Amino acid sequence: MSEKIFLEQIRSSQGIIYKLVNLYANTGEEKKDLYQEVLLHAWKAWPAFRGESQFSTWLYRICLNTILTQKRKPSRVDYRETLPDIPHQPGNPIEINHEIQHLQHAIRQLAETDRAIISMHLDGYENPEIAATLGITSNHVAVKLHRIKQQLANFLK
Amino acid sequence: MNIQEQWKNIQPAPDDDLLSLMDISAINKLSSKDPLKKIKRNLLCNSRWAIVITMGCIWLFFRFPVWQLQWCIGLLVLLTLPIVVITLSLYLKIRVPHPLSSPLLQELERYERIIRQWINLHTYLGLIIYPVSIAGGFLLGTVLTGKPFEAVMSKPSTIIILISTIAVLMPLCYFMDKWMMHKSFGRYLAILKQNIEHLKSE
Repeated sequence: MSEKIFLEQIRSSQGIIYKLVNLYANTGEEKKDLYQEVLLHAWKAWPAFRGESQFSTWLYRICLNTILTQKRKPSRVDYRETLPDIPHQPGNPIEINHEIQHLQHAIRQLAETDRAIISMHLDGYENPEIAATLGITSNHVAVKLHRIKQQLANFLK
Repeated sequence: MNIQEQWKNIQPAPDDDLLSLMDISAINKLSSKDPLKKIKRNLLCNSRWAIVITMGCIWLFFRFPVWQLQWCIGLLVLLTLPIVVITLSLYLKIRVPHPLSSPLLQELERYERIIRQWINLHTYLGLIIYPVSIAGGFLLGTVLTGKPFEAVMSKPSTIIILISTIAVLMPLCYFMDKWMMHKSFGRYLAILKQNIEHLKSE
C-alpha cells in the first residue's frame, strides 16, 4: 500500500524531478545517474515522511539535496551578457517551445545554487519557504532573487 | 509570455530513463553512488583491517620477544587504537540518505566537513602510522633473518638503511595518499565549497 502511494505521488510530481535534473545534468549519463539517485533517496526516506509538508515540497528538498551533493561534472557559472543562440526544435508551437528552451538555457547559465532559488520561485514558493529549504534567511533570498531576475532579464532580452 | 508562465509550461518530455524507474523493484535494484556512502563503506573496511592488523601485531609482540621490535609494535598498536575509534565514530556520523530536516546549506557543509575529516585521517596515517610501520617491518625483517639481532642493529650501515628507508617511503606514501585523495575528491570538494560560499554570499 505504501509502495503504491509512493509511486502515485512520484508520478504526479515527476515534473519536479524532470525540471531539476535537466537544470543540472551536463550529459545524458549524468541525467540518468541523477534520476536514479533522486528516486533511490526518495524511496529510502519515504518511511520517515509524516506529511508535515506537501509531498511536492518534500520531494523538492530531496531533489536539491541529492543533486547538489552528488559528484557531477562542473557546470559553467560564468556570467555573460548574452546567451549563445539555440536552434529551433521541431514540434508543437515552435515559438513557445523555443521560448521555454531559451528560458531553460538561461537558467542553466546561472550559478548552481541560484538555479535552485529561481526554480523554487518560479514554482510558486514564497521567500520564507525557499529560505527554509536552502538554510539561508528570507532577506538573503530576496536579495539573491532580485539579482537573479536581473541576470535572467539580461539573458532573455 | 512571462517567465513564470513559460516555466509552468515546461512539461516532462517522455523520458525513458525516468519512466523506467517508476517501479519499486527497479528502484530497489539501484546502487547509490553517493560520495558519503562510498566513504562509509571505506571506513568500515578500514576499521576491520585496522582490527585485524592490530591483532596480528599483538601476536608478533609475543611471538618475537625482541625489546626493540616490541617497543615498535607497542607504539604502533597505541597509535592505531585512536584511528579505529575515530574511523568508527566518523562511520556512525554519516547518515545516508540525507536527514530531511536539514536544509541544503547544512547538508553541503556536512558533506564537506565529513570528507575533510576523512582526508585528515589519511594524512594522520601518512605522517604517523606509516613511519612506525616501516620501522617495525624493517626490525621484523631483521629478526626473521635469524642472525643475532643486536649484532645486525649495531652496524652503522643497518641504521643508515633503516633511516633511508623511512626517509624515502614516508614522503612517498604521504604524497601518494594526498594525490589519490585529490584525484578522488579534489574537484568535488571545490564544487561543494563554491556552492557553500555562493549560498552564503549576498
